[in-house]
Amino acid sequence: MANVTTATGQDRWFNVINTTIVTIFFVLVLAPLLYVLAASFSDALAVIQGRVWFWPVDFNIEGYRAVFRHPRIMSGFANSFFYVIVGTVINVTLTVLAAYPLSRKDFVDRNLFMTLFVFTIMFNGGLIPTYLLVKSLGMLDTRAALLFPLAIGAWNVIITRTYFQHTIPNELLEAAQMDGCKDFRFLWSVVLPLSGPIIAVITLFYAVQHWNQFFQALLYLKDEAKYPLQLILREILVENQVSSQMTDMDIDSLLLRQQLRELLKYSLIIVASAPMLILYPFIQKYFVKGIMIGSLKG
Amino acid sequence: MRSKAMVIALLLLMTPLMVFAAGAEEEGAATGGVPVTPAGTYPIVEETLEMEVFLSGTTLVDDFQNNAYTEYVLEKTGIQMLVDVTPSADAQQVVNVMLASGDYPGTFINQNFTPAQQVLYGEQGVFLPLNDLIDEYGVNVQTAFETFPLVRDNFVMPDGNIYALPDVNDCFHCSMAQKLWVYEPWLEAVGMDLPQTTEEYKELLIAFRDEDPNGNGIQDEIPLVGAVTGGWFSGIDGFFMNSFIYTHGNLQNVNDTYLRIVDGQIDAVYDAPEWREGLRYLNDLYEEGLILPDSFVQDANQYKQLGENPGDVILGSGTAGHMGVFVDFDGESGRWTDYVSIPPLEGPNGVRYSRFNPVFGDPQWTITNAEENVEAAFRLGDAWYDFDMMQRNLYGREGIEWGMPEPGQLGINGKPATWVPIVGRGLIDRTSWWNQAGPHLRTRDYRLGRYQPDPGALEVVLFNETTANYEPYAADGSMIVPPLSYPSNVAAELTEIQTTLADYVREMIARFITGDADIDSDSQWNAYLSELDAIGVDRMLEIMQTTYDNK
Repeated sequence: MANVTTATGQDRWFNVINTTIVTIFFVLVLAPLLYVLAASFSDALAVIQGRVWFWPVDFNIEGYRAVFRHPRIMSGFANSFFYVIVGTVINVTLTVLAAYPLSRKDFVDRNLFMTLFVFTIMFNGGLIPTYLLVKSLGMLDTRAALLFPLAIGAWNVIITRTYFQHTIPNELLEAAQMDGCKDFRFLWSVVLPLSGPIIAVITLFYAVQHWNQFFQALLYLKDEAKYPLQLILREILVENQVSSQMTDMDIDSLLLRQQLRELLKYSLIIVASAPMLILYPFIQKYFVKGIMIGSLKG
Repeated sequence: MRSKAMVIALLLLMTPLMVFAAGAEEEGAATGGVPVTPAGTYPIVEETLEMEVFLSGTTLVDDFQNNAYTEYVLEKTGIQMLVDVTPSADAQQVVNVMLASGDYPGTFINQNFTPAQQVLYGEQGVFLPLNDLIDEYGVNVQTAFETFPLVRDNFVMPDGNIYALPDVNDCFHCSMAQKLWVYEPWLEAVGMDLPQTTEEYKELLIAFRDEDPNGNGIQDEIPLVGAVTGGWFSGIDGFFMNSFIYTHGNLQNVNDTYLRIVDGQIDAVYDAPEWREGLRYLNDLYEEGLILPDSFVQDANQYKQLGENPGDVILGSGTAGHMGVFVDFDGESGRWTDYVSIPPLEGPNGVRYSRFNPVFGDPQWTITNAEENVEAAFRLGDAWYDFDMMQRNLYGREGIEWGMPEPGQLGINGKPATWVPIVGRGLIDRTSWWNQAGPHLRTRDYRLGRYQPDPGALEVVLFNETTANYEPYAADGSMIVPPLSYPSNVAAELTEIQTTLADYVREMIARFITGDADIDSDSQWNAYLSELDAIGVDRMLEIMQTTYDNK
């Protein structure tokens, strides 16, 4: 806490209780993560025997070797990075370009446009019409299907607009206009440099959304070379669950799937979550600030 | 002639039934598609033909398009498949969207459409009826149907049409998968033989409990354990109830119905007096502390933790389709080689059954009205059954992943081998096979004809255990309720009753065994029976019987 003030008795109690509850939640969230991390570095037999808790047993990195040897996982990684980077650039660009005009009081029709944006939060065409739209746009089985249909999120437009409205004083605009500055120049040279927090926030929102994206990919992609990591991850973990319904399944391929799953399960979860876990702390400091401003005054 | 072909092509889009009537009259080749060569000959088409097919992928295959099998199909049949792949875990969703949006491929390869879906899309004209094509071109499909009449019965829909080609996989040990395994060294430790009756088995468990067979001085032995989620036939009830009444059910297998056929009548076993005797037996074992209580809540991972318990062995006997369910197959501990099967136990009234799972086939090859070259698409599906096509699909390239046997090489069943694996299944190049996608005809002889030099291999062990201990007691196929497809006006009602019943029956099995409900109390048993009535057992049986009789 940066701004410590002298705490009264009541505040102290509040702090004690608050810290306790937050700690409990922290442990609840941390425990499975630690378990998965420890299991990913442990011998498969030790995991099966239930000897692994929060520290690796019979340390080995066989699981990670297998992950990085698996050709589909590596192509999935490359694809996911592509979708995250290209997709987020498109998202952020479009969101800023939509939000800024909507934040300007001299934009006459802004309420109309805002209503249209909000409308999409509450109503949408549904699965099959959306599928037909993507198909008619010729995007089926192309990477574009994962980049453009969700290029802009109305919710993000709203928080970005609110941020602009409340942090960019009108006086700045007037001053700039006095000096002959046009709108695009103002957006680029004045608004953006002052909007680090909100851009960080929506970047994170969009990036996480792309990283976790799986349903769109499932629906629109047919070429396995374009699959993002999540789809492959899910396939390995779900498909290889041994089902009792396989009454006529070959035992050896059944065991093969089971072994693949046991070997990859934990290391794959770690590898798939690592990029977002690494990204988060860098953006986190903006995160609280940016979203608070958006929500408090909005 | 040309305008006639145009008319027929138009009809093809609207009413497939009529087209096939017309096509048959004109000796085929007139449905508007490219002409195909005579049935059973290759290539199927004279000039290379591109064809869109859709399938659910698997993590064991990296690329279906640039794949040795896909290339072999082109070489052999002249058909270049353009493969659309979707992950199998959610394939159903994707397929539903495709069918609803009208944007679907000519052939679905491995979608396992339910009878309800087949009838629905058949009525709409989306799925084409294959009956006439089977008669005219389906040399391999006909063989499959002749060898397995039950499969044919199962594939003819209530409207009289066949909409899919069957994948037939007659796995011998899976057909009697409800097994019980015991740790053999303990039998010697307590000086007892394999039990043959329910009483002998109880004595064995008591010895496991009291005589410290693992010799560590602690009473940590678990005489009997199972699991209810995951696993494979790992629920405890199925094996033991078959010593009292024929039971086609297992706690762990949520789709099991606990129904049988007696003299042509479908019958539920869970309201029979014999069923109560069976529960009483299991309740007795439970009260004696012979069944681990976790058996009614735990999953396969926890089950395996008991089997692979570090240090001393603690798991004495367990229910499962194979011992790999509860010990690590080929694992470091080597324990999997020490578990042997116990045959079905003879009950007090002489009842002794192995649960039998007949082969009904999986619907695999469905052709839609989006396909222009229907005959070629059908012939490709029929070619799937050819030995070399099937073998390359299932196991990769000849001469690299598998080969033909030399004289003197024997199969799993001890007869001359039919084929020889060169590399283990895990080492098959991931772009050289299709890992079983599509319809095949894997007869028992084919499956057991695989060359197997190692007498300790799992498949050999399972073959021998099944032959010796389960086959002699197998229930007759006529006792098994076949899959039935219900008219839509009763299907919803039936599903509701079945779901409610499945939950209630399973709950009460566990409660009676653990003593939470008293099996000896007549009032509680009668309350159980009247609850079954209230849920609608009779109505369910009535619906099923009517459908069964009409079949």
